[in-house]
Amino acid sequence: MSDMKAKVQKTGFEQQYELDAAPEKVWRAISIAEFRERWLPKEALADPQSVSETPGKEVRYRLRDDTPPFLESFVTFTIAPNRSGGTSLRIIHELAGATLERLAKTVANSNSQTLMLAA
Amino acid sequence: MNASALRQGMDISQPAMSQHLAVLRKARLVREQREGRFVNYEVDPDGLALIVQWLAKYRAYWPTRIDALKLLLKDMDQ
Repeated sequence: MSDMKAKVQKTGFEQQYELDAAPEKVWRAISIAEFRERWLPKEALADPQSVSETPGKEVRYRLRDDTPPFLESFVTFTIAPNRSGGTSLRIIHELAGATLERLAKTVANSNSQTLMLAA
Repeated sequence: MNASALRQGMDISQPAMSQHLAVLRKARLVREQREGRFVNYEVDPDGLALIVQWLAKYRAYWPTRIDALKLLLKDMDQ
């Protein structure tokens, strides 16, 4: 049952994309700010600095919503070579435990606002 | 539903169920209502709505960002 707990503390989802470009090039596009900002607006990031990085393989950023209640989340980009010489890009995006606690407070403190948001 | 009704058909102890419910409550996915000495649990629609909304937003967000990434990758070739 520890699985259940893990899922609650990390609410999120995963997507996978196949790209024609080679992994080295995709790595530069996702890890170097100058390139990254051309496809992922820097406003989406809570911090332009990555949370963690495994060069050539994985990079993790903290994101912040641009609308109330400004939920924070973590996105992990993982890349690997695919069979056609391109790159498999896996995106794991999750609300972290701290965000869920903040969410709990938001819901508790502002019921009317939440109802409006839900509409 | 109260905690014992929730446990029916599951191989889980009362303390374990309480722990899980506490986590769900903290995340605002369930809420509790006291009726005398019983506590009933139900899905918290407000908390759930926010999470559903968040999931819907970003499930649609990444495909458009990846389209932009593909354009950049082509550009980086030249």
